[in-house]
Amino acid sequence: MSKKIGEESSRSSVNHTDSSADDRALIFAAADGDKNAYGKLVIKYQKRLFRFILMMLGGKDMTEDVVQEAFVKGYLALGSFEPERPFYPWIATIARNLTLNLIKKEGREKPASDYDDLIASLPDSSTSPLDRIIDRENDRHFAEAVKALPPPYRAVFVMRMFEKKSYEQIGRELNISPGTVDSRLYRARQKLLELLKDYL
Amino acid sequence: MDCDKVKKLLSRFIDDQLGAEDRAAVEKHLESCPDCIAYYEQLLALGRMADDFDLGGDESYWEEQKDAVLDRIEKLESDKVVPVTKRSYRGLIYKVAAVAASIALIAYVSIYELKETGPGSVSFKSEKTIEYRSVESTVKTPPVVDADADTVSGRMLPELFESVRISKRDETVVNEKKKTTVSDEGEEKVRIEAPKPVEIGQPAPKITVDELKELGVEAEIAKKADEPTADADKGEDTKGGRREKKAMPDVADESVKQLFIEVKGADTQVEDIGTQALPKDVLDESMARLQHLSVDSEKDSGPSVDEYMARYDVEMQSAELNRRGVDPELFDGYTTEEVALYINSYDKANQLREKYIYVLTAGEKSGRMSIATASKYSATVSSQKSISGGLSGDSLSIVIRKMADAFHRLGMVTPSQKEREDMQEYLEILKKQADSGTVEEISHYIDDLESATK
Repeated sequence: MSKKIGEESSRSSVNHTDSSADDRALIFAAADGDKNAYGKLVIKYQKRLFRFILMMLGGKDMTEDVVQEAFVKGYLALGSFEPERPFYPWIATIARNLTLNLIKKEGREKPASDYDDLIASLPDSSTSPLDRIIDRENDRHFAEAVKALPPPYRAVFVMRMFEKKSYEQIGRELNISPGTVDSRLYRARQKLLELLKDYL
Repeated sequence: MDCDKVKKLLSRFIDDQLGAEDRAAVEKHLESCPDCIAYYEQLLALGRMADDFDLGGDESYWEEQKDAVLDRIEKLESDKVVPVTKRSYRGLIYKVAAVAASIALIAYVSIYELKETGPGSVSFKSEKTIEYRSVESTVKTPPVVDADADTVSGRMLPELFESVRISKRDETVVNEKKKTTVSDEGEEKVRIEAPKPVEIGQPAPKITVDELKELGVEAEIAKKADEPTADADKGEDTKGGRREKKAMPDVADESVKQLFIEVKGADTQVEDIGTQALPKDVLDESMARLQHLSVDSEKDSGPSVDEYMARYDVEMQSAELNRRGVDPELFDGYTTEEVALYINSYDKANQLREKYIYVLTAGEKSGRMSIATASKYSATVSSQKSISGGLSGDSLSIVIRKMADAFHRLGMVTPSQKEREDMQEYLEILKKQADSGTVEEISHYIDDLESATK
């Protein structure tokens, strides 16, 4: 089996500890209706999920919506979730599907399969300040720089650097070849180096 | 290697995506090129920036977000969209999807009904019935795959069907059968679908009309259904049901004949298939197709059939069966190849259930396979909401169309290429049975999936 880079558990600077036993207990409780338990799960994973979706969408308001909706859906679907599975990838998939569903292709009720279209079609949410959620100046520059990336580059960069997905995984999810993933990543990095040269 | 090329490769270099040769070349270049080294270090710094990137925000903001989630959940529950008691929801999520999907499936299956054939056919009477229980966690109630029956696995399905009665006014095959059943406990149960798989393990949660109403999902059907039957409660008892003989419509015969011909060769003389059990090779072909069902490629799908055959003798096979909660004695008279096939199908079907709520398995009688899926994220359930209670004769096309739609949606949101390819395959199956208008639509879906799969 070829090593898949994205498969390793994602190192994230957002407090991610492997505490699957704790998670299991919370999930069991939540599945039985204990909302406080679910609240703890939310607290545990929402920052990480928020970071991912925020980097994808760029706007705080929309991200809040998507993340909340994902957790709500997660709660409703807990009955069919096997607690041994890691929670974060599952909830991240829900969130990702939600973002894909944000736009519909003309006429057909079909979820968007392309992040590029999605992001391109979003209203410019730059008016919503990220102040409340990004403290450090460095981080703010970084967020602004990523947001300034054209959608095709942004998507691959975020999925690679934040979600730690492999080229193949990214290719599958965005319907592009790994080669295209590569070239977009290259350009994303080029552009970011340029935008962030004063801060690196 | 020139610097431009190296810089391009550095992106893959830091992602560990270079082959050995390229990697060595880049490393060599880096040893002596300050320019590229500087560039490389910038890339690393960028990576560190991403790693260090963290959302801040004071605690109150995140508490607010969490509270917003819980508030939304509360609101949903109080609107009685979902039952307040979450405890029962675990089963209900199957039921919701099951009710929706099952109505479609039952109609679908019933139209292509199996004929009662010989002693071996009605599998719950036959000693060859395979029952097994899931050895997975008890958190969920897994549907059951009955290798012998052409049925919607998922023990809940027949029970649901019993308690949710389609309108009596309907003239469908479905209802004709239902007329004599359900509430009369003393009477024979007539089942549309093939012998019900016997489920061992957690009893399936029962669903009543009230629960349906509570869910707000199948209100129309709930309206038309009568009071829930007492035998929604019954455990494995329902083995007792028998099906009426019903001639298969020509279309169904055609498909079965087709399979015959495909397996046996073009000049096969096809007798009246309906009254015989399908020959083993046709069955095998069906089972083989079942095995090709997509499993998430990242999951370990277990030993292949060949591996089973190579590695396991009868004794080990028995152990494998036991491990899965299947009584090896049921397989007396089966060859090791057959058992291996069974084990493999069992494993794959179980894995499929991770994603799909129901799996129809190929049966001895029809050899036809359909896969019904209900996306866990409710794409299918919501699309099935609009199926009204009655299923008239010509609504088969609606059923097919909705199934096609469901497959297509699932194929579009699901990430795995193999899964998409499988959706395509199922759509091809549906295409064969659809009317001309729907064929076009299904072709369109297939094209979509094809381009998504590239």
